[in-house]
Amino acid sequence: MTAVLIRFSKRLAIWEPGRTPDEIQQSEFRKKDGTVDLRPSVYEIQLRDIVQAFAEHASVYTPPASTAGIDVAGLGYRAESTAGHPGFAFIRAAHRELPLRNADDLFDLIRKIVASLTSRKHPVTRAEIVTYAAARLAAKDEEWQQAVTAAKCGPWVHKLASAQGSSG
Amino acid sequence: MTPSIALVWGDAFPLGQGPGALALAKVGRQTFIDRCRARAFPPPFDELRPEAAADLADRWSEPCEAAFEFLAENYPPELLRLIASNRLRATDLTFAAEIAGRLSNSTAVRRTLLPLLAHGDAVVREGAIYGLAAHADQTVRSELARLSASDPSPAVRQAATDTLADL
Repeated sequence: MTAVLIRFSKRLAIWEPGRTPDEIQQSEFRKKDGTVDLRPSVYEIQLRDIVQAFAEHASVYTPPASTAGIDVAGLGYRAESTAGHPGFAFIRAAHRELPLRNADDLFDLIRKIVASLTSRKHPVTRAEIVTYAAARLAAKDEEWQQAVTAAKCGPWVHKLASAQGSSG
Repeated sequence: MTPSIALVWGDAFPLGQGPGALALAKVGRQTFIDRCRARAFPPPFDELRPEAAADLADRWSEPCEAAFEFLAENYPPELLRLIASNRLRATDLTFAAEIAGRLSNSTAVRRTLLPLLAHGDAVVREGAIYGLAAHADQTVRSELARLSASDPSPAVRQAATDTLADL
């Protein structure tokens, strides 16, 4: 089975029809300090594992939102292994960055994504990741139990763990 | 009685304790504000109080998530003022709205973000939904239910549905 290179979107609406490459760059490929992100993070995974990848990725979010995983594989840009999320071995091992030479490369990448977006956009819903995380917590998964006590743990993970504690 | 030592000038320059230090701090602060007023700031930072604009312009040349987080932490009303100014582009406004959700004044957050649920750009409506998630009263719930059922953007419908499920 072929691996995909998934970039989780910050805004679902930015991938709806009619968006310009500029708008997509401003929303999805910009660092917090406003500079262009020329090393966008992606995960090299099998598509069947996308819910696990996003649940682990979103474990620090408030609140968890549905997302679109955008597959950027096969567009002419090589991914490099880099350190990922320290809390989960799976996404730590799967974490990559796409080193781009300049903004022209980035806009080329965005245009190629948009040209084949239908086959590259893989939705993951909030309900799917909450169900996944709840199952891992119920199974006493060591990484998820550690996530609950991590400093940056998202309140939604705390809420799930508390609900299970009070029901169990 | 030991006076407070929360006396700072500009960028956390400690001035010590006591009435003299307090007076000096006030003078220093006023000088800082006067200098800020004399500066010209790039748009949309010119929308802000001079001292907030100066603090931002010294760090960032344009709006960005880090700047919104800085405002949320240090000048909460100014973040809301910037959002309400209608001078941020949609791809900035969406993140400013989400970050405004971290503020503690729910009334002010709702007053600023509720109008964005009717914004013409779906990416702004999506950000406003995330910002309002922690400040939901009956009005917010009703608006989310309306968006969940009938917003033209599937992304906005999904965000509203997600948020309602979490309330």
